[in-house]
Amino acid sequence: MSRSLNEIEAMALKAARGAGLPWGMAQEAGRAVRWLQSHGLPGVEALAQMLPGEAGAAPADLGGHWQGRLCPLLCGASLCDTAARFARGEGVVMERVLHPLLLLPFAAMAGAQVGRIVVVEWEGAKAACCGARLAVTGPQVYEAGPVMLRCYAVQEAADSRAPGFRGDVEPQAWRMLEGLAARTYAPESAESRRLGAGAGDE
Amino acid sequence: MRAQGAQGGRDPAQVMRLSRLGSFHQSRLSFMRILTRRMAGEAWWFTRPEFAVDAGGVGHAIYCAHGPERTYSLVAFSHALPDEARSDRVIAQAWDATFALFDGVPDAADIDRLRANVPLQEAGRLSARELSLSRANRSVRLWEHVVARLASGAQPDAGEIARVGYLMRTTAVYGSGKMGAADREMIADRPEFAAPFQVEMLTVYLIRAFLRDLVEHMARARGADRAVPLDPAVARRIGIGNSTGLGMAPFLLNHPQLLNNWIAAREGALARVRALPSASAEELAVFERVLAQSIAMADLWSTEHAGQAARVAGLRADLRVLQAHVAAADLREGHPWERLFVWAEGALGEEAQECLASLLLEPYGALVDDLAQGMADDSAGFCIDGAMEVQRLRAALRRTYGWALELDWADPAQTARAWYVSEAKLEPRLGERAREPIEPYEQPLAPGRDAARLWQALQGAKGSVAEFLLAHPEHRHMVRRVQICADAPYAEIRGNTIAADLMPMDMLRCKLSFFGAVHFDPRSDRWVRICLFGNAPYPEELSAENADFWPYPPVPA
Repeated sequence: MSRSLNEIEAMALKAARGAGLPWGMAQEAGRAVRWLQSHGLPGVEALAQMLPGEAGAAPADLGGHWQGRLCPLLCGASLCDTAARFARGEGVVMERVLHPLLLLPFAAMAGAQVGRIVVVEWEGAKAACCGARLAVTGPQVYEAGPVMLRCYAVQEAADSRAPGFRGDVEPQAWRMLEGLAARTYAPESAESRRLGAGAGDE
Repeated sequence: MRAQGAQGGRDPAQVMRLSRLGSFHQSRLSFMRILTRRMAGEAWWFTRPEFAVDAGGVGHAIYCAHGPERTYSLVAFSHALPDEARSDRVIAQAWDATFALFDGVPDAADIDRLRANVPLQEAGRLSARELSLSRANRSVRLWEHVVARLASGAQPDAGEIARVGYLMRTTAVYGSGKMGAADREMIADRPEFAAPFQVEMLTVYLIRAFLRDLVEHMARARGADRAVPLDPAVARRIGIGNSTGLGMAPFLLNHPQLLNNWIAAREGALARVRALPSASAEELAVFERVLAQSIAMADLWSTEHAGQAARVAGLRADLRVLQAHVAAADLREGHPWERLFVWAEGALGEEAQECLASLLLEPYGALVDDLAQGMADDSAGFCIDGAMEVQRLRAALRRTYGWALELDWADPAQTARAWYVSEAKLEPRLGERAREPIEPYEQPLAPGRDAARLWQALQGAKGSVAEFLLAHPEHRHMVRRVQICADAPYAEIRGNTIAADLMPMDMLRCKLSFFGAVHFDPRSDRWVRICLFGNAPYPEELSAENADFWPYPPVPA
């Protein structure tokens, strides 16, 4: 199904919120899924798998070695928040991160912040990204994990591609997100009908 | 693109108060005027390749706007809507007319596809070839009056037109990827869409031409040989109504950088004019003319909303005080506009002060119109600066949200409301926190309260923002706002958006004034009718001479 990127971002944000993420993390999820789908990667599927599944952990500290079964969104946010490490030539090793695909957009944002290309690498998969641009090598970027994953900055990367303007989303995963998004809607009550109306009739 | 600052603009703590935002008026930098100036300046031309509407008013039409590089086509569908089905609610299911703006010129297959989807509005799907989706309902009273008069060979009554102002009112104009339409990113690099909401404004501009043609068509169907077309001078007075509810209010909160860029452009323009050492006779004449016309416009402004009616009455009186002051003052030398504005801040109410702020820009297109180019926000999205020390974050928070830290958030009146999206309507609503079970569904539209919560959480915190957010992901949305506001002085409303006494109308008015709307007619505190493109030249009339000052009505003799 073809969706506009705004539709995808809005749906991912609402679904993440519906699944219980704080608003700021839900916003990150929306942007991340938008970024993935703009590159033809199955961000909607990844989020639809992640949200109802095991809630991974945040890193215990912001050093260079993150342990535990890790949440890609919490790790992604922290990776982005510590982008300066890539300018210093330092990287991060994450021991067991779930749904690693969801980490790519954060690596790209981190790279853009410090003007570096950031490589995200796990067994059989390698992606180099910076801002809107992405170069993927290796066939297995779409797995549930957990995987051991490394992030580091490089000077040059293989030919990267610019994002597209539409997202082709997998219908079943989209319906899953719709179901989660619906949890953000308040059920109608007699009181809300009376008090909450927007534009009225005449 | 970085957020726009305003060189010499007014203090955000003054400008960004809700009551002042709710007093804004259209200006040279309004999106409708940016559009008509550009189209006239580039000699856009307009065609109507199809008008296939039957005697019952059912069918479709295509209106093309040809720019220097590209053509855009309004595809209009006219329906036969029974009176009882006509609703201005955004959740309605049938309309008098439905529209899409097509990127290019549609072929027969495109029209078939659009006919299967556009009349369904939210229930249909668009493609990346469509830039907007819209619908409109008749003003039953004025529509019937105009059809009946024209059918009998007479022109409609000027008083009737002035009272209503429009033949149809739109209840939504969707752009930016809604219902599958093209995202803004697809078209943001086109010069004609560099300023905000140009797609939506072009859509409404072409809708207005279609409705004039449709009402004449219906009059011919009824009156045959007796029917006459609308007198062009009469047709000009007819705008497009717009009915806007709460759904628009969160927009300003959800797009802080965009709001900043709008306000910064207007503030920057005002500062440039106030800095002028002198004014020429021609510039003074333009100012005095638009001031007189603004008095005429205020006199035509009719609303039954008690609060707004009182403000309009104050505006009428204040503008006459201003006119008398201008007549007596020497405004040629000695920084005349600065002196006038400082006088106005002491002598006039907020409505008239903001009206003056808009009027001062009118003689100075060459000085201020370039600021329209900075009003969009096409940045890739704000990245939190995790390396910032929390002490600096606290200082930044205090600068933007000092007003919020002084409120007593334990007082139920300060948190009486909650923004939420209802299951039944899927649109933003404003509820009573204590009386409805809505708190678990609250949207993040209370930055003042959330800033106060963040302030509490930051007490005693040390280290970097990254470390703070690792421990407190629940504050991430608010940390982002604080950092955005640090570089974007006008990004945040300086008022409590969940207070018991919040007037959502102030937020609607602010946004609609940037569209260029006039004659705000609140039908409650929560929804408003406005008029767009009233007095504007129709496509075939558009020229450099009439492309700019059309919002101002003629001054009655």
